[in-house]
Amino acid sequence: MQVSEQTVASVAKKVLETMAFAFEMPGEEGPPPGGDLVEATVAFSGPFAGRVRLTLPAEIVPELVANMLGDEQPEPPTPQQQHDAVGELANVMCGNLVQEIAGPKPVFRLDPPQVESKNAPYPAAAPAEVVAHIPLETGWARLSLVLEPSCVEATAP
Amino acid sequence: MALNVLVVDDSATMRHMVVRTLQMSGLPLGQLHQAANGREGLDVLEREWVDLVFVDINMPVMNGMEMIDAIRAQPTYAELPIVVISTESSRTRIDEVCRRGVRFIHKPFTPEQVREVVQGLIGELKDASL
Repeated sequence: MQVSEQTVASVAKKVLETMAFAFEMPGEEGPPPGGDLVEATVAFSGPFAGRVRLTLPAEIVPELVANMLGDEQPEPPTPQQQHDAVGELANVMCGNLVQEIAGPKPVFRLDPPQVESKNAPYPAAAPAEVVAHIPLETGWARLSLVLEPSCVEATAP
Repeated sequence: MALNVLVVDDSATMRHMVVRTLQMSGLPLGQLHQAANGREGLDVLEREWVDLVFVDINMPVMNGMEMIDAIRAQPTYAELPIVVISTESSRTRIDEVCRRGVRFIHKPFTPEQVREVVQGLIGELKDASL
């Protein structure tokens, strides 16, 4: 099974636009340096299995969450609210992405999102990882998909 | 008629987004209740009168399907309007959900989608009461 970067990017952009009013802003070149990151991982299983991981620079998360919650919030979102919101974004991206790949009929099971904050370099793509980097007005989003080995199309030696 | 609404989702963010969308929709709203899973949702239904339920499918403790089945088993709530808001995209699963007499909204959703579904439900309620 082969999944294109465009498929992953398309799902990421749609969810970011609809849920967080965050739009792609093309123009930035090269990988960002990393730093404080918030990362949400959703494992899935069904006709094929794997995991979807959403990585965001921590500095843009409060604004994304504020967009999701609405302007009436008197206080900046708490770390718990930020993790919940990033987890939900990843959950929705995962649900949409696996169905985009599999078509309308198969049923998948999604695990609850695992969210963590960390200080790290911009994640390098692992083998068999399909990565979409979305430059945004205030930062970027990285969505990656890893399929379990049995699902990955073998490449000729 | 002001609608008492129950929103059931394990994500507080998603509950907030649904409530905010309802508040922006111009619909006549009464009490707004929230629950983090199906079990908590049923607890709310035991002590409060609710006119409309929004429920996610994938939740810990008790998922949305189990909650819907429990609601439909109660004569008082057998006809309660229920809207499932879920990231579920499988046509097979969506059909399974809709056979329980509920409406379905796919995540990510727009406020317009929620408003359209709820207004349709309100129209049906009015027709049924005539």
